[in-house]
Amino acid sequence: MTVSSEGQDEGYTAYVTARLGWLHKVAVLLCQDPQRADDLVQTALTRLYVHWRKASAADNLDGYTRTILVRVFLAEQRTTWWQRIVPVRDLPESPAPAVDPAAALDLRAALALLGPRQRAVVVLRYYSDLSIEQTAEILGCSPGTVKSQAARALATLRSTLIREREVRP
Amino acid sequence: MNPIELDELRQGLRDLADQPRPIRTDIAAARVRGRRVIRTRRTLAAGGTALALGAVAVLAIPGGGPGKSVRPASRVTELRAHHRFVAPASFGWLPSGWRVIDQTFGQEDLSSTDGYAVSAQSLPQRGDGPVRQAILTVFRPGKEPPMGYMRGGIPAKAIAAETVNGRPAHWLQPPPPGAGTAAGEARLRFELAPRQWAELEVDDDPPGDDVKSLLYRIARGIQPRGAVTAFPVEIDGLPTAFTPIFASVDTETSSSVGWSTRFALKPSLNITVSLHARNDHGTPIFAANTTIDGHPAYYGDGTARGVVRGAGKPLPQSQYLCVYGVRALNVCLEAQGPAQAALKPVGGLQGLFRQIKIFGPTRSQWSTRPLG
Repeated sequence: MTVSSEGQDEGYTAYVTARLGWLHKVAVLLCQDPQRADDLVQTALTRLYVHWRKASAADNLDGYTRTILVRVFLAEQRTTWWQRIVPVRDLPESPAPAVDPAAALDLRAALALLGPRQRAVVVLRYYSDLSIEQTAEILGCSPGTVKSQAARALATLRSTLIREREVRP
Repeated sequence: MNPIELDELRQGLRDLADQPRPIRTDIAAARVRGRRVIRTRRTLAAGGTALALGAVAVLAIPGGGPGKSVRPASRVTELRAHHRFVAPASFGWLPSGWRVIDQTFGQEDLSSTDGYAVSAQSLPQRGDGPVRQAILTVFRPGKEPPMGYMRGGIPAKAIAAETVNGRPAHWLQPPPPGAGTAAGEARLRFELAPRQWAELEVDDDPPGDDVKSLLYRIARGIQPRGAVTAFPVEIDGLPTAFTPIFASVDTETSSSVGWSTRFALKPSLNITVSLHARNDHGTPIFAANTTIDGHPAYYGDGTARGVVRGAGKPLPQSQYLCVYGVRALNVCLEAQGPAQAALKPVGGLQGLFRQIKIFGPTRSQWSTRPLG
């Protein structure tokens, strides 16, 4: 290993270690599956390493990394289902209960009804709090498309959540 | 969704994301695999094969590749008349129940449109109501700008269309019904006035009987003049080193756009005024750690966010100042690199904040000279 690659590894590892938890949160919201989120983050981190020299010089390293993650997620939607299956040696542990388990289940179910791009818009706009323009740049579409996707996603979420709450005892 | 529901959504997303779960990502494995990719690329590059190009293209990285640039531009241009933001056009007719929800001036970055944009949406009172919108973009005067890309990075191409008020027009995708990138979508480029091109996008969901008629009725009613736009802030004594390149004002809490006002200025100064005090990750990174003039506030110089040095030079550090609850609004200022030096004469971000007048959420009280 050369001196420069040692420096690259040091900076990369420090950054990734600090931001791993955040990356997982975004990935879980995008794909709605903690195990798949592991795979998404793993792939995104590999790409981040490949582009680390450019990424580390970026004005907004978090934004650069998040863009890689979202694009990995969207690219995965274009693969066949069997390519998305990753064999695991151990069964996953059960997640801890949410703050409000019923509400969390409702929202998770509603998010699952959205298409991948609409879900990405919701996560980027209302979790990451990005602007219309920033979201459009990450998704590679026009701001108008982001607005329409967001409007449709919100309408779907609202109607789904209302139905879920009506049937809940 | 109304503002309360949007807050619930934000909180719900945070709750979902914050559920503790084991993380099985292997950082060492990512490094090893990354090194392997780099080695493979170098080998292929040395061989000069076409395969190397293919391998690079597979890796979607920010900053390049088809689909990134929606409307190509050579450089980000400054806003010419930055003391007053005058809309170059306005909707003359909109369907009943549609309201203007946001306006943008200038170009935030090279991936966004350079010009003026105004959006109107129908705002359903019930979640299962139709979601419909029109987005008018008015480009800078001159010849027609490049066509750009459709959703998914597909290059747009001109398809002949009926004139609009006797001026040339063309579709950017197969005309409706049902042949666009999604049912109910229609995009028309037309000459609003001599050497003044505009684009109108209509999204009608669920698709109405005749999206084309709806779009043409809106297009024919567009007026090639607009009003001076008002903003909820006014900044006195902004150092002359700063030039505005982008401004937006979003005024509908229940729309998909939300309620906020933003300014981007060169060099590297961002000003945001919003109803919701949020940070980039929805975590308490920007939780108040001080007070400014009696208001809870967050001040950070970048190091508190865990930003690390890269392989070469240090990352440019941002200074953040967010002051919460100023006349019911939240003001966030961000300055990077040269902006920090340019702000020294006025006392840095704190000094700049004290030069900002906040007018609150009532639009009748806003200023038409937001930058002095």
